[in-house]
Amino acid sequence: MEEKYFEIEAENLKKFVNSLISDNFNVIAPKDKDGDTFYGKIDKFDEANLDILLPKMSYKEYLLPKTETLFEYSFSGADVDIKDGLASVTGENKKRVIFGGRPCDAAAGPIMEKVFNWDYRDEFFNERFKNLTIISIACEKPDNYCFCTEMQLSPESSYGSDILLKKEGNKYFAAVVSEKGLELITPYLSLFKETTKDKVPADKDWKKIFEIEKTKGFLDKNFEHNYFQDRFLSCIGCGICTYICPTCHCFDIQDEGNLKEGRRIRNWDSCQFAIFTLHTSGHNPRVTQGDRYRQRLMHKFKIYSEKFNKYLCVGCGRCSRNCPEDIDLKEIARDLSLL
Amino acid sequence: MANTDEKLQKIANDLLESGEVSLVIGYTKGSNPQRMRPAFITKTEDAGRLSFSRYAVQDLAVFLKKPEVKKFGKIGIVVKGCDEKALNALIQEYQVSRDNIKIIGVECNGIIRQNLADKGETAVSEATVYDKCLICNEHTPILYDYLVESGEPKLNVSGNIKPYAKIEELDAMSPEEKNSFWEKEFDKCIKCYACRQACPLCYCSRCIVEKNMPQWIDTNLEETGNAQWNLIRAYHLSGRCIGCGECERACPVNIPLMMINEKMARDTYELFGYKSGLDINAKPVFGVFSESDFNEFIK
Repeated sequence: MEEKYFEIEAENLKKFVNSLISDNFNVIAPKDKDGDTFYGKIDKFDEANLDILLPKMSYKEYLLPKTETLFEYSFSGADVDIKDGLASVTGENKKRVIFGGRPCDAAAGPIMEKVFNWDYRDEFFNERFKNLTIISIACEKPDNYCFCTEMQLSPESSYGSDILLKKEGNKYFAAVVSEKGLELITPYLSLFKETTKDKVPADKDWKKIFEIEKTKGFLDKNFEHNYFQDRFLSCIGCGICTYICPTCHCFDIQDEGNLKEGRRIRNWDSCQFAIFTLHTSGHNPRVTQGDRYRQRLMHKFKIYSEKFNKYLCVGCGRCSRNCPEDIDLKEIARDLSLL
Repeated sequence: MANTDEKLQKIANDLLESGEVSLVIGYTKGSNPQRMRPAFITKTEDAGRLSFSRYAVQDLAVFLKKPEVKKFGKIGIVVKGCDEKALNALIQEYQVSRDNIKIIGVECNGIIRQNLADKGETAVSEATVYDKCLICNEHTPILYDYLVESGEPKLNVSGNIKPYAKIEELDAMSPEEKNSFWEKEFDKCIKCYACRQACPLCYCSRCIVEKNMPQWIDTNLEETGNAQWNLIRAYHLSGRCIGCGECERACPVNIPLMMINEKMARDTYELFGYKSGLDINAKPVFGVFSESDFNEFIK
């Protein structure tokens, strides 16, 4: 679709979001909780915290829940009753809007979508993704852990968003980039004023500090490099980086239940755990934490891009900000690009 | 602080040069001026990277459980008082041999909460340090081979701020209220197991959550699985946790895990008169039986 541009006063944006909520949309926005900010359902616009750079976790759980029930079973006599988990997904997340996220988070959706439609079409993911409308706000001040610009995006990128807002003074410019976005605002058009692209402030010239292609170039040739074993001695193998990552999507399928009833679920999982690749024979192809962190780097900056032509990283910097041992992915990607 | 850093660097340099250790684990400057990170020094020329400050938050004893680190054999390690208790507990439980460790104790006058430091806090005060610092009796480590004094100002504790105040609030609650409090907290859990990984005393090579024949702990990241995980961890750390607070610091969803650990530590002390990590020659409280042990629960 050809992009459309609108202006909206801050007051009207508030009215717009409040109208969405009263019209039964499930609006998810950055929301303060326990002294931090997380994405969560808001019941009115004022509950959203739009002043922070990024919520602590991404909104991945709205595409890939922490635990997803694939199906449930129950026995009655000789009969087995199977209940497909998909039905509850179809019912549950109609009209969900993510409001006030950042361009990096928005980019994660279409990147992950590729693997969920690769050799197997994952209906759960697709159903959720289809029903999600994303209104992002461009960043004005990325911090030192951000590196979206290096990851082929920018603080003002609209990739993955349905609507991208840019704040200017007391108003916002809204770039509507998808049919889904247009459909969402159409009933509320009286709050928006249509404008043209030339009226929207031009994107700033965001500077890169390293070339991600060079990072990939290093990874292409140096699987056995000492860097990995030495650098990641300080990695304690917690899964934080993968769990708060907007694009990490590994899961583990498990059965829970008994002879009468139970369910098959998929849970978030992490390549940073030793057991992730432990074979039944007892052999583990990724013995050290260095092996495991290398895997994360390889998957993000080499394997995924070779398969799907997109890096599996949006440069949000969450893994760096939240690593208990201060392992900084931006610094590592830069170091590797220079090696 | 420069003086502290120089002393640390000299000790590391000498230990590596003499061959007494093949690795020194310490702190170095982190990704921003208000952060420090672990450093693994194996060459004398890298000893100059070592540093220490009010931002040296990590408990480095955690690394002694890593197979990759154990391979170094003789290791020098920089410890604050709390970290040193973790090291003691590891020695008590035969996970680390005292003979293989050179303890470089560093005097600590309080560590600034990382979330505050990240927002720019630079002052050590009652309001900015961790609760563990407010109840700390080991600002100077008890057991060490080398001791480095700190150039940091002494932490002034007025007593106006009550550490772990919420524990008493919870104690006063009914079982139903407590249950609903923890249900809400555990609901946030994403089972990243950062609490386990950041814990120096969670060293099992195969954690109970990874034992699946049978599956003792539900795998889901929902009510049952989350509660089971957090409760089993609470029990496994009772009488062992030394209160470094690394689990709570690491937790990405802010579950107040130290309320559990500190409560269990207080109960252990009350019932058995035992505090973990204070004496490498003491037997772990749940590893011994004494006729005078609390036994009122036997009816």
